[in-house]
Amino acid sequence: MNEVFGIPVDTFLVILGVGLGIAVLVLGTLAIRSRILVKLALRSAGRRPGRTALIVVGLMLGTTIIAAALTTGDTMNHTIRSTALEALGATDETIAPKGAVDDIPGALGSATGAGWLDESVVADVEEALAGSGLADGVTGAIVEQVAVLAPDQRQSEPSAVLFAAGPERMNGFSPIVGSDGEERSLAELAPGEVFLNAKAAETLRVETGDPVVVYAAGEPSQARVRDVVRYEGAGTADAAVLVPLVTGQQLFRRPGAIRAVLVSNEGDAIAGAALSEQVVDRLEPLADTLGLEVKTLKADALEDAEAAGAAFVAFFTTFGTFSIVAGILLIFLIFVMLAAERRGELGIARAVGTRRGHLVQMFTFEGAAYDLVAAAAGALLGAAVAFGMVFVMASAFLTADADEGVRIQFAVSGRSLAIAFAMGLLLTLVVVAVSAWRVSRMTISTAIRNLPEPMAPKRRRRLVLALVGLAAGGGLAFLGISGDTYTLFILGVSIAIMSLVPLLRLAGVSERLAFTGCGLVLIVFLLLPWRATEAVTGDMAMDFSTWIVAGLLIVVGTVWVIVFNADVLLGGAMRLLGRFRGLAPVLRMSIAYPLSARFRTGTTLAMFTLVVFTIVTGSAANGSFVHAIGVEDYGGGFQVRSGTVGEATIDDMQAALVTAQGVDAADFTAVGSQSVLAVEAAQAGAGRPDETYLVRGLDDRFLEHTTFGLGQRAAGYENDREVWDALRREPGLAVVDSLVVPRRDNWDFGVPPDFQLSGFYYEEGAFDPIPVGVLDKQTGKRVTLTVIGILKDTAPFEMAGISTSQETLSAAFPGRARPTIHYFDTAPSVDPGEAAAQLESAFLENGLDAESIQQVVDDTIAANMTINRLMQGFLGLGLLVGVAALGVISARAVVERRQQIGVMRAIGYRTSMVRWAFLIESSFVALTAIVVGTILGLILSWNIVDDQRQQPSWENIQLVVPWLNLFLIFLVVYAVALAATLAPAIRASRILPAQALRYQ
Amino acid sequence: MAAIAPPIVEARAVHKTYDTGVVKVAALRGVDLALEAGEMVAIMGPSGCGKTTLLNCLSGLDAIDGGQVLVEGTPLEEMSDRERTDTRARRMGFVFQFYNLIPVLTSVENVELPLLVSRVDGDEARERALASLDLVGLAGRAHHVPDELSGGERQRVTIARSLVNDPAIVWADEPTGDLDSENAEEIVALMRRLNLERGLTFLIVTHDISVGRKTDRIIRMLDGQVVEEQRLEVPHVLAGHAA
Repeated sequence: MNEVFGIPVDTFLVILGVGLGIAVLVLGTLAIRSRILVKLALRSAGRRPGRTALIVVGLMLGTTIIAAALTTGDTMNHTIRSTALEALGATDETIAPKGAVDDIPGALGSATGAGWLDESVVADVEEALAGSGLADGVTGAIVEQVAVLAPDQRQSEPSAVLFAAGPERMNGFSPIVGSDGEERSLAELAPGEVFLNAKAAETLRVETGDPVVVYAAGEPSQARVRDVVRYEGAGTADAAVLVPLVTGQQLFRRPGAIRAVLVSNEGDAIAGAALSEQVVDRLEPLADTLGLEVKTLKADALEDAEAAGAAFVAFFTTFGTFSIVAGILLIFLIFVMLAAERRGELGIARAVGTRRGHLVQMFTFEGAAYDLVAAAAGALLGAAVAFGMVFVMASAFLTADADEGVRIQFAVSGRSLAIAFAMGLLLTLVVVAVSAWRVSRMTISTAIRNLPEPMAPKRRRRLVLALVGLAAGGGLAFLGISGDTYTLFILGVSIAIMSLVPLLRLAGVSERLAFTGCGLVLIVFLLLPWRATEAVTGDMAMDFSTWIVAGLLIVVGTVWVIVFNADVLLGGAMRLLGRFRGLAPVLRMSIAYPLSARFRTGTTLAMFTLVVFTIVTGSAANGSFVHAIGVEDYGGGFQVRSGTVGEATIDDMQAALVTAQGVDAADFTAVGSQSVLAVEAAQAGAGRPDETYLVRGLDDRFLEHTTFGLGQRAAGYENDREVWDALRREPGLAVVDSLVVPRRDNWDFGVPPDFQLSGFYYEEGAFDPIPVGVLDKQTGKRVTLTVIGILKDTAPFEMAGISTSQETLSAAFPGRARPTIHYFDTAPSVDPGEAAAQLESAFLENGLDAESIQQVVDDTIAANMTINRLMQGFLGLGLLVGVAALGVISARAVVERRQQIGVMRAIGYRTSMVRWAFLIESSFVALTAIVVGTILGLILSWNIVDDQRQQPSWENIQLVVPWLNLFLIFLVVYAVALAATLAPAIRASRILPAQALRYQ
Repeated sequence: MAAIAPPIVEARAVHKTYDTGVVKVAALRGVDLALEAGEMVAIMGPSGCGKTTLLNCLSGLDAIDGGQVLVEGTPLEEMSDRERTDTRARRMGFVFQFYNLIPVLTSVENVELPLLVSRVDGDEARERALASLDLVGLAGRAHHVPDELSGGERQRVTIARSLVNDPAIVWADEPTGDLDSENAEEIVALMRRLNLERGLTFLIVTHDISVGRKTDRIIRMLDGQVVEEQRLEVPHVLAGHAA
């Protein structure tokens, strides 16, 4: 994890450290100077254990959410690291032919023409590293895809990895561990024997001694499984076959040749990567001389893992922002109520000479005591919550990446827990200090008698507030417009609207009218379709901060409107439900109380509404995007897609189908093929360095048939077909995926490729053709491709890259790129799933791995929906904040209303009526928030969908609301809210009227 | 010979002990008492003598430990909590020293609460609540919340609430204890008027002899026992007023 909340982790830790240091210093100094105040504070904390526990639970929720988000990042980081470490083992660097990339992200099939090198290079590398103390292992290896068949079990694995290395050179690398736990050596393998790793044995359902057929370079070789072993470093976390180097050379008919030299650095699998730069420095002269390239595989993999972890942290912290804000509100509420409870005591303390500063200190000490426990418990609980989330994610990844060997593994770092703990601690301390200051500003005489605080004249304060607000709001709005930043613009305008409240109050407008009016204006402004706003301001950049700011402000406006129009609501509810005579007296009390306590109700309502709003927006918007994916987008006019190994390509698939066994060529109405090549690419004239990316060669049949949609086209091309036809007819033209294109809006958490275009925005419409320089490092040849189309966002990741015609690619880099990816369109009567299975069987020796597009789409949707549900669950955590608030308020209400409950009982309220009054009171807040939050969330979701519909790629997106999921979440939360209120409600109903009425 | 009507409330050898866990306090020690319908009775005595405890036990707000309390001939201790609660809602009214209005409700909403509890239709309840407020001279303050009313006004609202369900008896615990003398006098006069005009039975717990003097009977208590009863003449002014 490199960043937290967009700040580099190290900087963030320093900030937290300094903050904590200051807090400890200030509190420590004050504590030493006023030990008696510390003693009093701690005594207060320990006076009522039940209430203390409730406060601690309330305080820790924010920390829990932060810790859960960070731990999820740790888990993803660890998972990707583990997967990489499993594939690489002790291998830190490779020396291989330039541009040889075995596993190209987004490529279905292997790259071809990767090149072989003479195994004598191993000795050269060893010599170059001799005496450096940097490496503890150097070996030549073949790491290449093969197909494996288990004839007795009738099982096959079309894309296993064959790992072949010299047994005598394996010392510095990971050990091969046999099924009996003993270390094995490749030297033990007799001719015709192989080791399989557990994943391969599981897929093929074979055991030690079973026969297998290995198809290397398209040729079958009989073999027997010597043992099922565990080995990290076979080049995959998935199925692998291990043989001695000589056997590998024989299988590929490449005597004396290797694919790469593997280097293991000194130190363990992770620590070794730190030496990569020094190793590269040492080896680069040799690599240059030999025309080879040194690749820092381990360091790159670790970096990718960090980036992926950070993306998950960004995702969960962004979506968790509302819950964290709700958590802060809860802390504030808890302390304000704690102060209300102690108001009399504090008033007396002031009357007998306690200074205001002492009260602040005492309250802060008490808060710090709760805070310390809550932050620690919250951090640990967050890790536990993340542990639960990992199970859900594991199932999602299993669905989406069944063949990729990604197994989610829970991990939690001390650093994440420390960050969550420190953040929770500091946030709470700040809120506690503010609450303490607020508490201390009491009128002693009214506090002692527990009378309401007298209203102070506020004219000057209102004027200052209004003027400052208007100036700040205006300034931010101006900055937003001039910088094309939508978030700043709406923030500025909203602050200005809110600043009108004190101005209107100054002008004598009633409180209700001022707040209601400004609240409504705020809601309407923020919920206007974005295109309506942009019609005035012009196009502006949006990102997740837009959603967060808009969401928070919409909720502020809504809460104002609700709490200042409480009587209307009360009247409506009474008119509607008051007809049920038994319900009328209960309803009267349960609605009147929350509506009379504006601060409490408003704060609790805001907490609940914020989280409900996030859940609805998050799930509806995400669900809409997920459901917008279809077979047409994913298949580009084809029904089946497949990849073959690079050493056994099928150059003319259409012809091969005619002679293939078990396949009826008539079942396939179109066949298109692609080749892939890892290149260095940069936009010409943009001043950016070359970056590794992928170029695809699409053959004529693919280009003729494809319907892959384009989000944008270069000027002069009327439709997508014209672009694809142009690619087929004119050499040198290309289409790129949308990941490399600059955007004004940023709604993505993913890690973008290093190769990026610039000079325009995706959202802007037709663009001028973009020249891109493409270099094949192996041959040193360079070609300029002209980009005339950008794929839609809905295109699959397997179409990522710079796509040109096969003719262009072959002409530019002869012999380097042969087709390994094949797309098939099937006759209407043919089941694509069955066709994929037939193809795999027919072309097993080529390692053909096929899947129906429908299956891919189904898996993708299923995986995304699981992630969506996970997000809903994570956000649902925030609702616990609201639930805790209701619990705290109810507990407090029982104390505050003791006498009133006595009166109610005296005039005829039954115990059950008192109980119901409390339960309905909580229901009123929870249900109002659920209904209002849902409505607001749906409107904003509609805005997001509507905005996207105007953007390239998502013209057909429809708002999809997961009603059932939402209903279930809200039902559970409502039930928990009632449960949280039940104990106070029962306590209230058991109050004996005679005792309650005894004293004032 | 005319039949003698049974007392509306009768206490027979009522005992009540408070057990704090540390000490036991005998708050009532064999209290015998009978209230006739239409009577206005004051219970007086020093602080801690058991006045409020007696009121609570007679009204069913508190349970007794021994003896019997009969309300309109029915023993309270034989009623379930629910039945006692329903009896309070339909047959009793309460006036407290500190008014004990629900602060979040307006005057009329406070007054109509006992009717709603008794399942009276909402419109009818509102009509009767307004009439009750009118009876105590507060029709104009119907939509004000307690914080917006003076002490005297609040107590009038409390009285209006106690009358709204046409109770058989109104229990008043120190109804003038939080009022100045002028307001206190007005409140007592109001209660007396209602007693005379509507035949309402009042039992008033008070320290204030000037309040006691305006009732039909003063019962004096000491150490949890009734030690003296004093019948009073109906004050001339009020009697005249009633006529």
